[in-house]
Amino acid sequence: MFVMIGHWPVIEGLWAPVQQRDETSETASARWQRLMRAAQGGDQRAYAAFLKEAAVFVRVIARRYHRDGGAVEDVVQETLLSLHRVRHTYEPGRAVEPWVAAVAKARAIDALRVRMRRAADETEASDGQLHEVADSTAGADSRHEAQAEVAAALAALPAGQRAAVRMLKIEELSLAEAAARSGQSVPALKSLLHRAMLSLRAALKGSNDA
Amino acid sequence: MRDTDELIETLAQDAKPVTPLAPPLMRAGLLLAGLLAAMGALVAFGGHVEETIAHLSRAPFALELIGALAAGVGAVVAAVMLSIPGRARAWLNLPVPGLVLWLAGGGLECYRQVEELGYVPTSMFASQDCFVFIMAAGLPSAAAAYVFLRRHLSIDAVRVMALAGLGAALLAAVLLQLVHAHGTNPVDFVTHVVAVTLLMLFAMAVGRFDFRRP
Repeated sequence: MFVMIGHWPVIEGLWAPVQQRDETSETASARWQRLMRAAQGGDQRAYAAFLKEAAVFVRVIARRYHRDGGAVEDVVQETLLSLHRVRHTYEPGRAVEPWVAAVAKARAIDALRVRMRRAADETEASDGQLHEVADSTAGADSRHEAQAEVAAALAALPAGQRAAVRMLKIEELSLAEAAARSGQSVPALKSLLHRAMLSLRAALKGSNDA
Repeated sequence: MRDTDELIETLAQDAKPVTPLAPPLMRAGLLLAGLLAAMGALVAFGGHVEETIAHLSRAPFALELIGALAAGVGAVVAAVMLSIPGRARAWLNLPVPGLVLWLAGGGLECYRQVEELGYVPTSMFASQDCFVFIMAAGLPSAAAAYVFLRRHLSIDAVRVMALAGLGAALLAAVLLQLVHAHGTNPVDFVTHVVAVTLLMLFAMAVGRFDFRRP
């Protein structure tokens, strides 16, 4: 009945307070459904509002799997990227929370797997590795030669690894920015960077030994 | 934290309208209709439907065939349902009753072949044609399911592809029974089970590869 009345412009003024009360009393679940429907329709403001609220929800889930704040934030970002990619799979009219929670849980477990794989590796890529790699060429005759060796080693990397080094180490983009630019996931970028650093280290160590 | 806020802004700016998927049961029905129509066409050309219907009077054969069909259909439906994030894991159980019927029916049919008909196995490779048939018919069906599900496969790809592969393989096993209608001896049945398992494992590997792709 109220909906019918709300469509009559003559009494729109009467309807407005009811609308306002309805909005303030709207449950979080209903609000997310409304925002997701709007987001699927291309409403960028609704989508941003939904993602901001979803990030809080995802952070709670991520903390169940990860203690480190950085890892939690990686899971949050990776989940948001995944939600963006699969936003067409949300079925209007259904609760949004299980949909978000399933994606968040999957991404949190993925991050755990990546961490376990890394722990098994002997070497850990760190932010200072590129500089270490350059320093490892101390036997070269000059700084210029060392730079040339690094450039040659970079050029020899596969395109994906080279792009990860360029974005994250040379242009110093954040993981999120690099992920958004390249269309790749945060864990995938981390993995590419890790492999690139190992390759660079091996290549430059080889050239020094020679 | 700042990175996350920037990411949200970036994603929101990239938010073009998207068309929500049709309800999963409808999509599962569409996929099944395609697979069953292809099977029907093959049976129409080279099937022995009358012989198969005659064999259905034997309870073990009927159990085996109906079980494989039910499990195949159930696995395909479960694959489509679970490809949508947040759907209940209980969908995983959908093919189980059919699988139990298939294994029970196949087992009973093998027992009948050995006890009543005196079947003596000669070679474990005597049914290699069955293996080739299930693989040759199942792989295109599994590929069709992969293409159908691929666009939103990133969340639970291995599990979804396992179900899709299982469904495709079981429907291929049903097709096999329709084109060469005779009882299943123990070597046949072991070959069927091995072929179905291998196809499912292959589909899982495809799902894993897809999942790992950056």
